[in-house]
Amino acid sequence: MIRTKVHKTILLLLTSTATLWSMSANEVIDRVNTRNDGTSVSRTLKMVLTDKRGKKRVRETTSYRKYYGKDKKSVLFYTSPKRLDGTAFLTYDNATKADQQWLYLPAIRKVRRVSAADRGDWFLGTDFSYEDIKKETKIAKEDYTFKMLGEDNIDGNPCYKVESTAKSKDIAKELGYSKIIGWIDKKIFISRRNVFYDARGSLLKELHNTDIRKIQGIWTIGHMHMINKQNKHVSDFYFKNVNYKKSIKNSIFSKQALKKGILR
Amino acid sequence: MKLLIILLMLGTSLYATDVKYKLLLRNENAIYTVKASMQKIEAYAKLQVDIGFENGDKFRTIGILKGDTKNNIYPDTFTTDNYSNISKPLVLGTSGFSQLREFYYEKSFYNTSVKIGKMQSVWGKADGIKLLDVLNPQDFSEFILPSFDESRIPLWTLSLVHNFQNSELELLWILDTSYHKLAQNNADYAFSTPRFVPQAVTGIQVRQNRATVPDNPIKDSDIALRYSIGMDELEVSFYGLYAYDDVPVLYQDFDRTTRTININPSYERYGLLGMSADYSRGDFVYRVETAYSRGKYYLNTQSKRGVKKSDALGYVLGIDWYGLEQTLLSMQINQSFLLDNAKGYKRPKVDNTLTFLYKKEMLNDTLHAEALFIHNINDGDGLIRPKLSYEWDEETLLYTGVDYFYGDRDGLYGEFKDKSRIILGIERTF
Repeated sequence: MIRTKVHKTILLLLTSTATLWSMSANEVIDRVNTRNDGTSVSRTLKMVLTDKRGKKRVRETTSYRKYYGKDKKSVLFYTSPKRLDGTAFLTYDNATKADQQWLYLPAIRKVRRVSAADRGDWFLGTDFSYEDIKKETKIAKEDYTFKMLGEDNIDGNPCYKVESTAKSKDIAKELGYSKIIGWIDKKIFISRRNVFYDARGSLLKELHNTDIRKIQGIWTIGHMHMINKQNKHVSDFYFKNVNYKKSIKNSIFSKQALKKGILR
Repeated sequence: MKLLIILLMLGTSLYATDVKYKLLLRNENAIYTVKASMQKIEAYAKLQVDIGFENGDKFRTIGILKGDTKNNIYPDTFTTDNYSNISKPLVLGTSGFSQLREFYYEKSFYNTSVKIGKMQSVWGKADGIKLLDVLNPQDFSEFILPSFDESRIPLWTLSLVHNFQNSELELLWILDTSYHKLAQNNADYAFSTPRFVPQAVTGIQVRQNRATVPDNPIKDSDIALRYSIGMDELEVSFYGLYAYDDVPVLYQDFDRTTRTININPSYERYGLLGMSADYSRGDFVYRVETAYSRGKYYLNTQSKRGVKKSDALGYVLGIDWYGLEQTLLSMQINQSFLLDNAKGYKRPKVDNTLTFLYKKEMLNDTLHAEALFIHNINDGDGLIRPKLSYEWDEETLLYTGVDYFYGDRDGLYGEFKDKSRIILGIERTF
């Protein structure tokens, strides 16, 4: 009898806890994933990479992204430093089939198809993974299960604290993350802070998103600050000249465009 | 053609909205592995200027300046016989030259892009093996050791690319009659392999005459066509080329009175049909490239003039594996078949080459490790090229590597086994 009572109490407590939050973790993630980020965008990105000795490297890129239904095409052109100028990277994110990626290196003058399967690889020497870049703070529901951990404040903004756990060891290995704890703004459904754990469960890196502003009616992150806790390397991404209304030609997402590069 | 480009620039909106320049300075030194002496002390400068116009047009010019104080690569002076009159580099004394590498105007309208001027045109999917990448001749002064970007000889070309819904058509009209630059006879990387070079016979004199060079930019121009279809998962391209072979045919005529073999080099036309494709699945990228050539000549000891025409078929099959973190492992099989049944050819009827490539990025892409291994199965010779480069800062790259030749001295790679070397270099971009 006592046992049944205890069970009932635990059940009641769990139910009450669940209803404490106005939304479930899955609902929060749905809102994150359906957040309006424009049908297209053009922007410049300044990447400041700092190693553990404090030595900085700066890269600047111009990028374009456009949705075609559920599919997405993105292209990124290096504009600085001059040694990397002309390097370009094209991605087709397909909703129903495998993603495709191409890299253009001026030194070989060929557009080379590269595998898009290594989602956990570091993106061009930064502390972001290819998957981080591709998802743009969104999160793939097919890869994780979600749990609401509570509510918290980040930079004075009320946030849901959601834990995303990789569904399998294989997925964790592929993504490089076994778990992500995210602080998601309750009003705008943008992650303000993320803590990533590697495939073995050790603390890997921390992301802090700031300078979040509404541009042309769309909430946009201006600064992403990622610290790799294991090698002490830091990546700061500064997004500038964000334009959701600029007309972007389909031809920019082509191999011909990669070879031609951009000047303006 | 320079005038045409200037007129084109004047005819369009000349409001340049962006001018970018890039200056690359490099010092590369090589030390022989078999003797403790320097092979080269090379200084290289490259200036690139890109101008973007309001309407999306682009103008590019690239010039280089190169000098080497050791005179093992260019022993006497930099020879320019292989270049057409409008492409000849400017020779600077005995150890240097400067060259206009690129000079073109690119205009896009609707779905068409027109490029006119001096440029490089690159075909194919293979790495380090030139089956379809044959539009531009190559400077072999340093064999295949410099990057193809630097060893390709840019040509004055009219290029037209039209994009359809899911395909692309490219037409190239190459008006420049420059050909391969082979290393001079007394240079480190002068070819001596019996595959390409007629061998001396005791008691018989050999005299090499000047090549007959087709030099009419219209009559002797090359025409090339490419059609690529599919873009997403699988892309297939088809190629057609009607051109002069960049290697002269070495006709050998025996003069009985003087007991002399006169080698009379002459450039001949040939045709090429090709196909390439690439496909990605999981961690793998598969690449294939095939070429069928008609009308090329090969050394043949049983032929009256020492050469014989044969059709040839070649393919490269490549597999890239990205399964390890920040790492690329790549393997290629290359086979080339001579389709003529006659005997006496100096190159194998079936020539087999394997290549392996390892690339790894470390320390947030500041340290790059690379190793290329090329092995010819027929001759048992090859080339091993490990290389390590470090990005000191945004502008500066330090690198070191080894170019190690091994195997049969009659082979394409083994002939240079005494020319294996250690490389040390520094490159700075402004």
